[in-house]
Amino acid sequence: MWKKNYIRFLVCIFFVGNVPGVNAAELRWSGFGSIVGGKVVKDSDLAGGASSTYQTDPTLSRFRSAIYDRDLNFRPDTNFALQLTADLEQDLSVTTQLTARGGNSFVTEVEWLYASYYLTPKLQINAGRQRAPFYLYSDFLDLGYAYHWLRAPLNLYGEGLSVYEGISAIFQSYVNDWDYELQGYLGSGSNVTSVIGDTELNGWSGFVATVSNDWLKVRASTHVGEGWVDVSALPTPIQLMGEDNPQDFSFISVGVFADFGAYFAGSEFTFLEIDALAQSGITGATFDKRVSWMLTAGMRVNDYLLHITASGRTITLTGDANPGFNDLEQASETIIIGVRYDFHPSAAVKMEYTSVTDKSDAVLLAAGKKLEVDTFAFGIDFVY
Amino acid sequence: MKKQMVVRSLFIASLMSGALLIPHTVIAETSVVVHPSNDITLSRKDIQRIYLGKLRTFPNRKESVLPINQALSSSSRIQFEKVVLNKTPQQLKSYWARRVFTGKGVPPTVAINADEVRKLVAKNPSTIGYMDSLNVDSSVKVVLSF
Repeated sequence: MWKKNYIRFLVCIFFVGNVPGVNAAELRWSGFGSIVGGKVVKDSDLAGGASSTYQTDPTLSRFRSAIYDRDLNFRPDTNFALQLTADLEQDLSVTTQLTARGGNSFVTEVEWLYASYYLTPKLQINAGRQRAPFYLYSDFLDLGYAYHWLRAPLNLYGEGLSVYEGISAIFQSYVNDWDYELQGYLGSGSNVTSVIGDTELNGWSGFVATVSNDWLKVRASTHVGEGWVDVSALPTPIQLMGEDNPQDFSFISVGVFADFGAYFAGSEFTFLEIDALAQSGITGATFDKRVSWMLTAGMRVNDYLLHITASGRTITLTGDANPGFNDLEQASETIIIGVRYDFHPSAAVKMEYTSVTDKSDAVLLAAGKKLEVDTFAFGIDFVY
Repeated sequence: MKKQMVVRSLFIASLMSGALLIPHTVIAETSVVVHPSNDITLSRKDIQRIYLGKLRTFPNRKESVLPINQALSSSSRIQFEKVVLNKTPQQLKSYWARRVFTGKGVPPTVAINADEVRKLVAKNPSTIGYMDSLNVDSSVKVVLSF
């Protein structure tokens, strides 16, 4: 439904801009993509003779194409995006970005669709469908070309909801040698393919502050909202977080990135808490809070970039039907080692080895170390 | 590596033309220029902000500033990005990819050569450009040389 409305909105803006008939909009096409192959090189045995796998997008948990196993798979990290921007007169533009993901069987989705207006040269207002600015890399998470990894660390970025429909304001200015950017937004979002079923978030708002100079960037963000899940779709329905019983959530993140050209290092820490009870990925257990972090460093030698990243995630569970789950922790730690080679002005090839260790409490490991898996992937990222 | 090759070919070219080779003849000076009517003082940092899309107007003007780049291979651009922007071509490519695909701006327009930069700047007070100082004439005004 929203799709129809936004297209109408886009069409309206387009016509309003063109009514005088003198200034045609300037259209700009651009895009990016990644073609990545990978496979599990070391897995762990699970109950029932199964083996652990590596799922790159938890929102696509129902699709085999989003999961690496022992067979070489070119789908989980492959994507292609096309962006069209119509620059209308007087600081107004309309942008749409269409993305097709291999993990989602290349179904084309509208990732961004917004109108942007500069109220003053320093204040930009965006209205429409946008990326939720949860993390340091959220805004350009699909854009592999913009960072050193093949995919941003899943302990942080393996997130259900990443897109919202609403309004955001971005103020950009500077003091002495420091630039700063303040962003506030308000909106709502939904995700029909999440690991816990159809998820809806309402009254979602947040604030992001970024300060940077020539070599350092520091970012902090805080977000609050109310969410509910279509419980009827759950395998074992629990009436905890249904439409009639939405739960408050809050999320904070702090990130820092220092880039000296030849070397760089960065870190990020995030904390998510859900007010009362929400279904977790484990049947019978509910999600209480989640802490995740990462540390990354790299060095550039000519057109090569070598990098190493450590990251971790701990989800604290509580029991609803089963108090045995109280305070149990589902945790994983990951090491990523990779290389990027900028062989072309608009493209880079990458190789990456990812090793995940399952650090969950023993009770949760009864059926095997579900999270423990090593994966090798390689690919090419490009922009045009 | 590339720079070494440029220096080497300049060296050979100088020898062939019989020119006297002294080091500073091959390390060209670059000038940042604006329209002659633009009465402004810009620091290196101001120019960096304009070229990175962080400053969208000249401090003394209301309309948007239009920064003009030279071709990727131009030696003035290589020098400008290194000294004024303090970023490598790869860092810039990834910087602009991030800005473009998150709606935070577009990279500067690219002119074919220094002559075109000079012509564009000479006729539009909202523009800013840079070029080898040897290409500067009275149709533009220098705000920074390095």
